[in-house]
Amino acid sequence: MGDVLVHMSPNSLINKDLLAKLERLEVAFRRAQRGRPEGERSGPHHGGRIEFADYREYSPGDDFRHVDWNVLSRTDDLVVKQFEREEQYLVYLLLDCSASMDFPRSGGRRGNLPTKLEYGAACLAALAYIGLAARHRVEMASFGAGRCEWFPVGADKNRVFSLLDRLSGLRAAGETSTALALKEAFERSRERCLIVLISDLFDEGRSRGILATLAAKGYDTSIIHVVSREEVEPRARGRIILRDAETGDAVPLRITDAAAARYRRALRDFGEGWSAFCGTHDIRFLSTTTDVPFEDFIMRYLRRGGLVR
Amino acid sequence: MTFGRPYLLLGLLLLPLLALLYIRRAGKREVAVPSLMLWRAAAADAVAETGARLGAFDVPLLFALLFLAAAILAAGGPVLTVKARSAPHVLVIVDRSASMTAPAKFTRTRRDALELLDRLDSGKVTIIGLPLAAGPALEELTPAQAKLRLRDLSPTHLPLDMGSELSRCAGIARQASAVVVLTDNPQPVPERLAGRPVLVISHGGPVRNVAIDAFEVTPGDDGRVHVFLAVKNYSDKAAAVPVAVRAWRTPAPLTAKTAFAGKSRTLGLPPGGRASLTESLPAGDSVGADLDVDDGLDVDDHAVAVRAGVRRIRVAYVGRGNQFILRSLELLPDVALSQFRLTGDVNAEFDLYVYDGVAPDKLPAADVVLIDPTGRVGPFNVRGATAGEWRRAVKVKDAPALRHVKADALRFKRILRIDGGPAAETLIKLAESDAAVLMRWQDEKTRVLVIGCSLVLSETNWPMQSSFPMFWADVLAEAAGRRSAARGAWSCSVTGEHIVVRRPPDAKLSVIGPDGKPVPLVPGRGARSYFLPTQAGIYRVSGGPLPQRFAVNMLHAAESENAGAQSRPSVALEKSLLARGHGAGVPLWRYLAVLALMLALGYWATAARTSR
Repeated sequence: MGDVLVHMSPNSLINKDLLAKLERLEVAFRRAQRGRPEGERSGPHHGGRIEFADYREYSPGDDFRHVDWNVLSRTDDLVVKQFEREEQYLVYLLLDCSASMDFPRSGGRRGNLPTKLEYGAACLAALAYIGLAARHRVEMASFGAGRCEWFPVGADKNRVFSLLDRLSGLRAAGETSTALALKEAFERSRERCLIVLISDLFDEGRSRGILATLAAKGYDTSIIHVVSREEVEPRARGRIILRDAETGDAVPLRITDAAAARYRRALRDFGEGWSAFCGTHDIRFLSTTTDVPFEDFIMRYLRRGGLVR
Repeated sequence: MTFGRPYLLLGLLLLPLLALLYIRRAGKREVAVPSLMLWRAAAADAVAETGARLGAFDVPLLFALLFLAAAILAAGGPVLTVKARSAPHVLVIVDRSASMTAPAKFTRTRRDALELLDRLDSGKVTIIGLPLAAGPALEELTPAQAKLRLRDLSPTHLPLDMGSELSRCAGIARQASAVVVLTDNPQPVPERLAGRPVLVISHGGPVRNVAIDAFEVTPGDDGRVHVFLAVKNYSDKAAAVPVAVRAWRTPAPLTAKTAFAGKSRTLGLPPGGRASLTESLPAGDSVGADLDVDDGLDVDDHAVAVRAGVRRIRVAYVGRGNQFILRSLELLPDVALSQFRLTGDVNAEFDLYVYDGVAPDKLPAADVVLIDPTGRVGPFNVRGATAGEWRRAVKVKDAPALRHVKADALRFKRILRIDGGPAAETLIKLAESDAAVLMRWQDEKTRVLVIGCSLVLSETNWPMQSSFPMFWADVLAEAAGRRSAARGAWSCSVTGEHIVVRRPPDAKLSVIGPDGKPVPLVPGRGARSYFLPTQAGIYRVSGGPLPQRFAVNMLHAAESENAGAQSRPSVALEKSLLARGHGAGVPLWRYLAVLALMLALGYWATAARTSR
């Protein structure tokens, strides 16, 4: 195993070896998007040679080589030159940071498994690096507790370290606000783009409307549904009080084997409901548990789900 | 069912409280989940079944309560009394220790035991005398047979450790339905033995007793013997006790002793105190001390020591070292072996000299074995050797030292031609010629065995024969027999300790004790046998070439003290104990402990599953 680049206690999911493997992957865009020039990979619009196309405002993460210093000296405006030949796509990666993502809880029988937040953050970092390696513009948003914080990563793969630093500082708290994050992504994007939502989807279905809207407007949307093993197979039995990690609501229950079986059936129905919804709206839907080896998930499951190739 | 520690059962009262605490704690246990959305949908029918109400079936709680109940019950020491289906089987344990020799003690004990058996009209009886070394258990007797056997029992002079001896009886007690112990021992007897009820019939009371506490005899350089004697007063009143110390020589038979020296003194003894004296007496072969006192126990008023007649035999081996010979000598008991390289190195007086490949200038006045000698030694003159060819045919003369030698198995190669003169006797010679392998010669002071070959495997196979070490054992026995018995060490042991008897090969020995009855010694594998004296007095070994005597005394302070101590009061004989159908006790706590362990495992498994 290579050197660990990000430490998300107790698991270190991203390392140099994995990054080297990720460079061989590319994001599989499904819809014809109006991209920006200067991407390395060929887009649907095959241009000829590299030609100057336009200026645009500098944003953090842009390659300094493309800053037009002449314009800067004349006008004090920091702009970067855009070229036309290959297309550069915009990738929005949305990570759920609500309290429900902090499972399995540390100190219990979690063992060495990462939390859903850690697993999702690692997924986000991997997808971002794949995009950055192809010089696509990547922006991420972490949402939870009624807020959505955006972080424009940039279009240079060296920016992945800044991204990893930011991911390491994320803490799960509050209620989920998936709909808010999707709404902000829709508003920020001036063109159709790739949106990847990483969440456990415990938002009572409030995000389905905006997801359907995004899909209808041609956004290439994907959902990575992260579930922990203890959610799939709850082992608690007896008379206990279940407390919702997000809302704090408590419900006294006597969990028997039959009740646990009904719960598992409800969880299965929940996943199948989302899968059916996504199928209807041409949204990629990938579901995983935190005990699936992370590298397998990235290198095999994401490929199989059509998100990367 | 009865309980050994019934007060521990009060712990059962805590169980309801523990159950309540468990329920309250279980009702407050919280588990955080990412979302209640799915639980609400899935377990709607299970909502709100907590609180203080006990669930329909709480497995961990059930296991915990059952475990605690089983553990508390096991700690209470329950014994289940099972109705006997057959007639009662009574184990009668009779104290035969030295303290029981006090006047009328054992007689009264036996009378009570007989009375007990009279009330037992049927059933089985097992009689055990303690200490167990005093004799075997008499098992499966009818009451009538038991009465006859009881009349044959008599007290011994052995000490008794009641606790350990009773624990050794537990195996037999387990087969009985009740145990009766007849003793004067003040040590507490457990109320149950292997779960069976124990009835103690106690005899004894405050009796005045003065005893010899220590008795040591050591030889002095001046030919006299020095005696150290200590006397203890076990009563709570002061006493003035006349003490007589005598030395005498005993011609056979032992009973006719001729006292030739004796002194008498009076010792003043404070209550519970001790006094001692030392005496120097002319050396006889026996020394004895007697207290002239009329007290509770007679056997501890006398002590005796004798010359054992056996001391270590000093053997000098002169030669380059033959491992077969040296090992044979070293393995024999009471042998002090010294090795020398040259004849000039031998600088002390020995009982047996073995010259291996070398010859002394002058034969010593002792037993001598010459192996492969050279030149002229005493009456023997070496005149050459036979040819170096293997020969198997030898002739062996019937002699005590050669009774284990098998002529057909012996092989010799080169044999010395030795002229021993007319006084020399040939014991082994070659069949085909007169070449002597082994010759014997003796005069008043010296006895010589000459072996006309080297005792190495390249010359003979005799060292590999089983007769070889036995030959050396016999040589040593003959050498020891020539020594004066007056040179033996003083022997003074105590009852209950085994005495070691030197046993020549194949000798059938018997030990004659103070009662004059010979007791055959069981032959062991080695050159010694062991004998356990049960009576104090002088023992003599008969049947062997060596005069062996042993003095045994009852010098056990505990027995002397028991003889005068107040024993525990007797318990009235319960008729129900011997009645038909009286039950035997089954200790239930073991089964309960196992059950508690299983329940603890069950609790651990279910509780762990629930808490995950």
